Amino acid sequence: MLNKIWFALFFLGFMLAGATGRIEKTTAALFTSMEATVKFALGLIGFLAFWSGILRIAEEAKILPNLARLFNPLFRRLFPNLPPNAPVLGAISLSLSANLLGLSNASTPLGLKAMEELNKFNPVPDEVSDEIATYLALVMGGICILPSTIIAVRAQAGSHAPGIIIIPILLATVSGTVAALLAHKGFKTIDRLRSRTQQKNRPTQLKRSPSRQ
Amino acid sequence: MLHSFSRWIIPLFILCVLLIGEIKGVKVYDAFIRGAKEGLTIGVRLIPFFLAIFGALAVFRSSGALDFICRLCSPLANALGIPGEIFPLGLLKPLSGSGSLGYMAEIINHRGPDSPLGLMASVVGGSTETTFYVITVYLGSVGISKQKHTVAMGIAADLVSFLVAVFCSRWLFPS
Repeated sequence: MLNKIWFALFFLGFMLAGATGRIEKTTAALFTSMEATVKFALGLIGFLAFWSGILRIAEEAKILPNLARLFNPLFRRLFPNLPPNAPVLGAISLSLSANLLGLSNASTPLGLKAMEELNKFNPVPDEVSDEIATYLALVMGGICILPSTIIAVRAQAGSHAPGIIIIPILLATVSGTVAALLAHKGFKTIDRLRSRTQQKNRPTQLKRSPSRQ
Repeated sequence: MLHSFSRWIIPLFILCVLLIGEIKGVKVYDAFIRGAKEGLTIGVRLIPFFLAIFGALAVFRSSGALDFICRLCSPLANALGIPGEIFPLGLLKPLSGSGSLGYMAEIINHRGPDSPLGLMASVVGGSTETTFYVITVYLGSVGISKQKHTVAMGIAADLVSFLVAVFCSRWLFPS
């Protein structure tokens, strides 16, 4: 699906640019984006490396499993097959906390850490596992109790009540998260029905796959 | 209060991690270097994914294709009661975080942050997530190429939170 969307963005873009005489401007924008990408990536790499360093300290001090206790009731239902004492649930809670608090800059490094931990329990290395899909549903639903960036933009524009949007944003993001989780459940059921004839159910407790670092 | 809270949270987090590490006898400097090396390799591995998203978006936006699709969809948006300026914001956010932030700031500054349209733009801007960035970058970082149904899942989340955001703000902040 991503392949088709990516193709469609280029195809529609160039076709329309040709039809409206904007082909030169579009090509220029493409070239600018290449340079901008590298600048963005360089900025992010510094950020990523720094946070990975801090997180490594947290890992070696065994802070992550303790952090996961905050979300325990929720996680026991969403990730029943992940071991409660491994760093993986801690990494997930850290990444979700960054989203909850609207720390958009910190969310990429923390999210990638969670992905790395989650992938250690992935039975098929090349594919999205059930746990990864659930985690992505939570991230893409993006529940936010403190939308700091939006509040900052509104305050800068001279709003009398910059924080008034907190409740509606919370409502909308909770609905989005529920929709994503339901969609995941629906797709999973379809998959299971389809493969029932060929395969037995997956073992309940997942094991670390030895091929991963 | 909220502002000083969000200003303090990152330094406090770093300080706590360092403090607990020190107390538990972790060699904090050595651990930091090991982790930072790992982060560096992940960062370099991500560049192709960034190039793919940002390049496609540059073509899609500068060619006028985004505006074209918005105009194409505007009768539907009108029928649902979604203002013409809000619709592109909902379409842009799943594709590009910084692009939609700029667009949202433009509406807020133009229409006033406390006007019904400015409020709706704030709510919509705060409730949709950068779906394509998350899928490509997160899955790319661990080398997963089969996304399965995650794209459809992300679109479902965006659609639902967009509609809830629009109707919530129409109900809470009537014009």
